[in-house]
Amino acid sequence: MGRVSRDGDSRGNAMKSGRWTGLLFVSPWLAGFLLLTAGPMLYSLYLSFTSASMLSAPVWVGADNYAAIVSEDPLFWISLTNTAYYVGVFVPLSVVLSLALAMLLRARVRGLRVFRTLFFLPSVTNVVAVAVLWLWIFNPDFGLLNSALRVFGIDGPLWMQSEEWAKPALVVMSLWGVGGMTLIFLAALQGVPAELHEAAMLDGAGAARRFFAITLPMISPSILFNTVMSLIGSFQVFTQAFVMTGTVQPGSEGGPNNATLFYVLYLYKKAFQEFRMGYASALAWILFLLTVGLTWALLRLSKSRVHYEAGHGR
Amino acid sequence: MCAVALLLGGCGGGKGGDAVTYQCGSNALEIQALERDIPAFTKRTGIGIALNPFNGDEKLYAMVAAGQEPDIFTVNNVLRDRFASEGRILDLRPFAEKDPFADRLLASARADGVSLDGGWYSVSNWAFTVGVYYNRALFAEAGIAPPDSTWTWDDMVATARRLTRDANGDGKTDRYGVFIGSHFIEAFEQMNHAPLPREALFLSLSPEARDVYVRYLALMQDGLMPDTRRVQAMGMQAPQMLENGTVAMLVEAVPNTNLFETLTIDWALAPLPRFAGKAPRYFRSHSGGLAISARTRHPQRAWEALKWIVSGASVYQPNPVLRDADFAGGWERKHARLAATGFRDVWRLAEQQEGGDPRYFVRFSSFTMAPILERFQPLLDRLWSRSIGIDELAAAVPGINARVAKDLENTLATSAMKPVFRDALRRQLAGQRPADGK
Repeated sequence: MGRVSRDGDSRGNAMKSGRWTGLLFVSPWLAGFLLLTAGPMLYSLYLSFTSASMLSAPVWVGADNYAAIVSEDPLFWISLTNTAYYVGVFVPLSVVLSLALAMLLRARVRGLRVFRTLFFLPSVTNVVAVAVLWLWIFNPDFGLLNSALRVFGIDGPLWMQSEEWAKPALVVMSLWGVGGMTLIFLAALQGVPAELHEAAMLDGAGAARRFFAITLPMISPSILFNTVMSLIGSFQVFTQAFVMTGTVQPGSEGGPNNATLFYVLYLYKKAFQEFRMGYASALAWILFLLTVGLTWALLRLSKSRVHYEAGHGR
Repeated sequence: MCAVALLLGGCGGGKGGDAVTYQCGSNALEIQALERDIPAFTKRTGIGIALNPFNGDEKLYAMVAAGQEPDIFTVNNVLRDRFASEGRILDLRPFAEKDPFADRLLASARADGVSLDGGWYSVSNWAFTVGVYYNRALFAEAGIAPPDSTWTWDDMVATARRLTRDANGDGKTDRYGVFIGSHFIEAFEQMNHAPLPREALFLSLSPEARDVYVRYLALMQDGLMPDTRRVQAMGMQAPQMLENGTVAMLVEAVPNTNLFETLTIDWALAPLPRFAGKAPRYFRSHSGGLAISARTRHPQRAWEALKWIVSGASVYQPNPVLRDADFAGGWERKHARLAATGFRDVWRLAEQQEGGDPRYFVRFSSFTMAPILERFQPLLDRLWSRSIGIDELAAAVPGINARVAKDLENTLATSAMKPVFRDALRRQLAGQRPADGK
C-alpha cells in the first residue's frame, strides 16, 4: 500500500512537473497569443459597442453599430455580396485547380522539380508585386491577356475598370497563387497506398473510377483542409483589390462602382480612412462570426464525406 | 531587467531629444536636400531638426493616436480640421501675431489653413493651378495657332476635333485631341462659375456643374477624348499619352515636376479655356499644409522650424505660397525648357486670381467629404461607363444627402469635438440641410 502510494505520489509529481515544463515551453506562444491576438480581439469586441475613433475615449453606444451596419449601410451589403461572389467562385475553382495541378505534378516527366518550383513560386511572391504584375497583364491596350484575345479577333474588356470583369479578373489573378494548396494535395496524393489502385485495376476499374472511388476519398481530409483554409482566406481578400484599384486616383479603391469593394477593404476604409474604429470593429466581428459559422457548417457537412484512416470520421 | 528596460526606453519616444521632429516626404531627394540644409539652420538658430520621413494619413493617424507624432507634420484639410476640432494641433495665431512671417504668405495660403473656429492650424507649403499641356509640333503640323487666354471650351473642342486622327482608316482612333482626367473636372466647374463653397456639408449639382459633366461626357461620346476608364485601366499614364502622341492636349496640374522632367516632345502650356460669356476663374490651390502637434514640448522652436521649412529649406524653394518669391522665375531656372513653354503666363493668370476658389480636392466640408465621396464616386463610375445619365446622377443627390446628414449627426453625437466646433457645425447643418434631407 505504502509502495503504491509512493509510486502514485511520484507519478503525480512527475505529471505536475511535466505539466509545468510543458507550460513553460508553450509560454512564449501563450503570451504572444494572449497579448497580441486574444487581447486585441477582446478589445475590438468592446470597441464594436462604442463610437471609438482611436483618438478619443470610446463612448458606449450599445448595439448601434451593428444595427446601423445591417439596416442602414448599403455598402455593407455590397461588400458582402462582392465577397460572397469571390468566395463562391474562387474556393471551388482553387480546390479543383490545385488538385489538378498536384496530379499533373506527380507525373514522372523530366524536369519535374523545376515544374514544381515554378508552380509554387507565385505563392511565395509578394502579393503587392503580383498585383502590379497582373495590372500589366490586364492592361486593356498593352496587356498580355487582351493581346492574346486580339489574336482570335476578340476585343478584350477593360478588366479592372469594368464593373462586369473586375471581380472575375481578381479571381483569375488569385488562382495563380494556388501553389500552397497544390503542395498539400501533392503530399496527400503521395500518401494514397499504391496497392489500392493495383487491386482496383485488377478488378477492372478505369482511371476515372479509381480517381473517384479511391483517390478522392483517401485525400478527402486534405480537400477539407484546403477548402476551409481557402474559405477563410477568401473572406479576407484585400490586398489585390486595394493595390489594383487604388492606383487609379485617391479614394478609388474598390471601384469601379464598388465592383471590387470587398468586405475587408470596406472595413479598412472605415477604420483607416474614416477612422471609425468602433464601426470597423463591428464589421470585423460580423465577418468573424460569418467565417466561424460557415467553417463550422462546412465541417459538419463534411463529417460523413471525409474519410480518415482511423475510421472515426474525425 | 534593467537592460531590457533601458532597451525599451531607448526604442520609444523618437522625439529626438531637444530637436524638433519633422515629418518630411519619404523620397530620397527631399531627405538628402533637407539633411544638407539643416546643419546651417541649426548653427544659426540653435534649433535642431530631426527628420521623420513617411507618407500616408493612416500612419500619421496611428502615430497621433499613440502620442508619437512628430512635432511638425503634413495634414490635408480633412485631417487638419479633425485634429483641430479635437485640440490635437496648435492654433498658430498666437505665433503669427508677433511674427511678420505670416504677412509673407499669400492670403489664399493663409485662408486655406483656417478651420471652423476661425483658428489658423496649418501653413500651406505648396500651391498649384491647372493648365492645358499641348504638343506644339502637332499644332504646327495642323496649322493651329497656339491657344491663349482668350480661348474658350468650344475652341478647345474644335481644336481637339482637328487634331483627332484615324491614320489608317481602321475605325480606331490613333490620336485623340484631348484628355482630361475626371479628377480635373472641378477646375472646369470653377471656370464655368459653379458654386463650390468650401463649407458645403452636402452634395449639390448646380446647373453650371451639370453643364460641365455633360460637356465632358460629350468629349468621350464624340471620340475626341479617350474613355476615361480605359486610361484609368492603363494605370494613369496620361503624361505618357502626351509623350507618345496618343493625345495632343492634356489637362494637368501646373507645375508638375513629373511632366517637366519626362516630356521630350516639343510641348507648351495654355491656360484653361474660358466658358463663352463668362469671365475666367483661374485659381491657385493649396489643400493642407504643415501643422504643429499640440503635444510638442517646444512650440516656439517648432514654429521657427516650420517657418524655415516653408521659406528657407532649398528643396521647397521658390515656394509659391510666399508673396516675395519669384516662383515662375525660380522654376524656369530649375527647368531650363520652361521659359519657352508659356509656363510663366499660365502661372501669372493664376496669381492674378489670388484667393480664387476652389480649394482643389476640397470641394466639400472636411466633416462630410468622406461620406459624400463614398456614395458619389460609384455613381460617377457609372456615369463614365454610361450606365446612368446625368439626370439619374442628379436624382441620386437627395438620397446621398440624407445619408450624409445622418452620418454627420452621428459624428456630432459621439465624437470628441471641441464645443466651438460642434456648435459651428450644428449651425451649418441647420442652415444647409436640404429640404428633403432627413
